[in-house]
Amino acid sequence: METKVAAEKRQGMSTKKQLKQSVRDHISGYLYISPYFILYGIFGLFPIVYTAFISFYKWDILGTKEFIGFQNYQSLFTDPTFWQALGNTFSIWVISTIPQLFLALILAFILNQAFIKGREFFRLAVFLPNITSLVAVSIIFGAIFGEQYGILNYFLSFFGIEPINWKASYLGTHFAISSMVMWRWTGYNAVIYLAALQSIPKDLYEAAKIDGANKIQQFFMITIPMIRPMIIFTVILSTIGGMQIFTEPLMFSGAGGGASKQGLTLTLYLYEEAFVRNSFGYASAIAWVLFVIIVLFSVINLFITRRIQSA
Amino acid sequence: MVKQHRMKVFFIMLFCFFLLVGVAGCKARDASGGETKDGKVKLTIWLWPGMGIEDQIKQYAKENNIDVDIQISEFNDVHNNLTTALAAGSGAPDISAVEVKGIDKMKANPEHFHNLYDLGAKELKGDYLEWKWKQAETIDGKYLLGLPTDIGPQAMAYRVDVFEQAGLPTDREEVSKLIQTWDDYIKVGEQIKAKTGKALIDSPNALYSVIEGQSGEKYYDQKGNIIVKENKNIKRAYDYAMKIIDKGLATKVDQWSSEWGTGMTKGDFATLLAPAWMMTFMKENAPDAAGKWDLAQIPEGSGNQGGSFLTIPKQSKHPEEAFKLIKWLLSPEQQLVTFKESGNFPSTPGIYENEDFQSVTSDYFNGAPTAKIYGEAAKRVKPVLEGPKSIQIEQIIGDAIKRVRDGKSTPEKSWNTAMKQLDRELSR
Repeated sequence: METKVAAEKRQGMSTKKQLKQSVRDHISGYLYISPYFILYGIFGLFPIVYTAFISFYKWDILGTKEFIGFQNYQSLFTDPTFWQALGNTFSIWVISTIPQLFLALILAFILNQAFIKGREFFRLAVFLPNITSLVAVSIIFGAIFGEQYGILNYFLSFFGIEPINWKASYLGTHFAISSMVMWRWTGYNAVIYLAALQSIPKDLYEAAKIDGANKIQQFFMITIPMIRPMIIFTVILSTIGGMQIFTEPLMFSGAGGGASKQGLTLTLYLYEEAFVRNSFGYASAIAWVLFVIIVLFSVINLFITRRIQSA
Repeated sequence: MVKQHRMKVFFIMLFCFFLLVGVAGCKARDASGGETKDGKVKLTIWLWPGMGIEDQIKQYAKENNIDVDIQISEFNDVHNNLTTALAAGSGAPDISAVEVKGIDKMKANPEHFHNLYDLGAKELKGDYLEWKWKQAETIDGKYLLGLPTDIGPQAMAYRVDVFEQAGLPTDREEVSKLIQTWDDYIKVGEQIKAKTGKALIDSPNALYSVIEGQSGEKYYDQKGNIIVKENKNIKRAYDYAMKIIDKGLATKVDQWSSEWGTGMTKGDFATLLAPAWMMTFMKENAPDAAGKWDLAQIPEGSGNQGGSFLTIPKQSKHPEEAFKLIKWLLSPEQQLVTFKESGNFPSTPGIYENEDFQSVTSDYFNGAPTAKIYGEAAKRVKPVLEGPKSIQIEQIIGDAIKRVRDGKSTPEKSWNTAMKQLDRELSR
């Protein structure tokens, strides 16, 4: 009797063990991936959800929250400053990103040519601006674009051009900020394009050559379609980055974006609302609207760049 | 069975989560003081550059056998980080510096700070300027958020070389006598412009903020109502700024830009309306101009610009020790030391007559008796009551002036734009 029970027990234990083993594998699997999800939950997901939550409140973070429903969103859409900031953001994005991507493509194409010696050096050189401190870059560009002692106005004076007050005008400010973005990101995109270029099989070009295609035809008929996924990737990345441009305008125009708000971008406006005016509810509403804008804009860009193939 | 194991997984994940939160919590708690291994009290202190009190804090720590951790960050960052830490409920220091405009924001929620009256600040009240003390007090006078550090009485710094070139007197007494009113000031500017081609002042905004501060009331009346549109002095200050722009007597550089420092060195502008703490900044940013600047009085009375407080956030575990430190650090004797070291002007009038104080001169300012000049200015200060929206109002009108300066708008249009922005701001 006793042995029977013991045997049953043993059997039971062994099936229990077996089950445990498979479940254990599951557990260890979950454990392996848990650090990412836990960290993401705390530092990624929670702030996003919480931002949505407080965008329905009026809150100066030190005092108490007051529920006001959609009022933050309502006043946002009638807020002239918001539309101005949106316009500035798009303007800076267009001035910086479109030439930047073309330039990066040309740069990558040149770097990929066989006749270039010391390719590693050039590759490093074009990437270097990307790892410099953003604040340092902004201070130096701020000095370059200075009205009175800026080096750019100094050079322009050789051509008889009167000093331009870059910081005061819309176009000047947008141009200066865009030039910072371009300086910093052209090389980065060029390196991505270069990697894509090197993955194109050589025989495609050889076949094209035999068929009598010239270099330009090769570029448009082979190169561009082959690196299309990378072009889409860079367009979306620079859309996301460009919509969130912050440090450059902050350093160039100050927290308010300048006297005519000529340098006020959406993120800068968000920052000003949150940390200067302490209206965190309103700032959260801006953050969510910005999110929607980025998604919409990325989809539009995706749609446009998809058509590259037919070009 | 499976259900049970799922529960287990869940609990393990939950455990990991709490572990992480616990670790994070420990870190945050570390930020606000605590004790070191050998049981010494440790005080964390937040300051911004140029406050000139770090060495004295270290000296105090050594003499009183405590540990201090002085963390210096940019002016705006100190205020932003403090606000965030107070809201989060952890991470605030034991002592934090707060500037006068910042303290007006904090006064709306005094419960985030230790009431210094509870720690024995009442007996110190007589040592400090009354208006300065009031700035850190809630309107009902029951709550004191901070002890005063320095004040910012204003004087006029002027370039001796430019004045000489323009055929003007260069002696500081004579300059003060020559420029008695703002109209005199503009007249002098016209002479400078005609003879040397240089500007009178760095920025029309600086002139605006000095004049608006001279009348005793600025954006708020004594009851805390906003009176921007009713206060004639604001429009008067604006009109003087417009006059200066119209006559071409101001440069186009922004204050605090790198070009400003260059202009300060080269003497592109003949005068600079400088609060006392500006002296430190000028020495650091235009060291090559040493001996070329001198100091005189500002026409029509001085105002106060800036100045700060040391506060003890509620999160501090050692409010008594922290209070002892700031009580010592901001005592008249120690403020005198600070002034000698860095030029930050004391908020304790008791030492203004002190011989040791009066004899302070500055080589940078052509040997000017800085203590006497700023002491004189401090007596002429009409205290101004700031409010929670002062910063925004200042920004709105300041932008209006800049738009005219940059040729982007006309004086009237720009003012109307500003008033519209103001209405929107106040309606929120």
